[in-house]
Amino acid sequence: MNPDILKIFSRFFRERSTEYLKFELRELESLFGMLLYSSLVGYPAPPTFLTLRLLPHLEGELRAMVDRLYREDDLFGELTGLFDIG
Amino acid sequence: MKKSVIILGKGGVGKSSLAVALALRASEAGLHDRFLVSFDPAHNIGDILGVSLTGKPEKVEEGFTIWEIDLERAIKDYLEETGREIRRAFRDLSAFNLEGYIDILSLSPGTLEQASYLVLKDLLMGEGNLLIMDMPPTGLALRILALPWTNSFWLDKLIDLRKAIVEKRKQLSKIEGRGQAEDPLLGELIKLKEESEKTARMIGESLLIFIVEPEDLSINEARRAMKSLELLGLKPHFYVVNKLGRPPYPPRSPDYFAGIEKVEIPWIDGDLTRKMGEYLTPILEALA
Repeated sequence: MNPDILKIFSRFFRERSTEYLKFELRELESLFGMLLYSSLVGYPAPPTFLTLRLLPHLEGELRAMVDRLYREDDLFGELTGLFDIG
Repeated sequence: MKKSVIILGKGGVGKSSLAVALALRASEAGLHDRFLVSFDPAHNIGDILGVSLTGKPEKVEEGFTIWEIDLERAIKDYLEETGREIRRAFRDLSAFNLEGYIDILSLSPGTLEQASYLVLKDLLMGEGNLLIMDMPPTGLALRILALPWTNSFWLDKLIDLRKAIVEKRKQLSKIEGRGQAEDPLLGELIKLKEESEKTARMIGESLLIFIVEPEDLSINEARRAMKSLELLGLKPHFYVVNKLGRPPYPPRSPDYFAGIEKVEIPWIDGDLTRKMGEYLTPILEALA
């Protein structure tokens, strides 16, 4: 058998197996961003000092948080996609 | 070892007079390198000592320096430093210019507290023999003093969550067979936590003096303040009753001061800070 096909199969299965983990990670990152920048959505924020000090490190979390806000409308769609329904 | 004194009390009860009187007498207790700092926006140390101050530390006599902090300047410094850090991290933010907004940002909730806290932290960690801090009126003073605890509380939760994120990332990179880089954010969080804990510890090690006047308003405020201090695990070492003898001393003995040493100062006519000093022997003994 062509070894390339084996590689493709193995990558496919690996990706399937990490999908849930990635979803969970994205959710945690988004929660982290939310906690720090909750004033963006109107929650009481932690001390400004902390949010400003940590801001430079948080590009990824902020991205995850904003992405999640966009997906909010279709969270059901995302879950069905994740569990391969429909 | 450096000693720090934090003086708390309602506006106008005599915090600054007490601070000056204590500083003047402290050299007797062998504390020759004295630094008196006023955080009170209504500065009056200069008036008490009859010198004009400029918002910078100034030596009034050998081994005695006073500083009426220019809080507006401190806020500006804090905001400018933050602006510089943000610009350094996001180089593409060419339009980012905080300068034009500093006036309005300085009115944001928490800014005054944070700026004062940063000055207080540097002072506590700084050199010297004796540091006396004349705090602003109770409400603001408590919010400043509580900051290292508030920050620690948030940092605890954030560190827990961050660890969970790092753990997930580790699992992912293991499955995908790639190396895992250190998380700089977790390091930063831990560093901030250690800094907050150190400041909280140093506040805890300071000699806390609460000054009241023998009248209900100031004593009631002291009771409320003691509750807030208790939340931080702090308890004053002394409570000073100032201006005794002018109005009648309330007959009720305030039991929330139980276990705290009392210093009484009678109503003084003229040469206030010198005469006040005569009553401060127990505090000096505690410092020696």
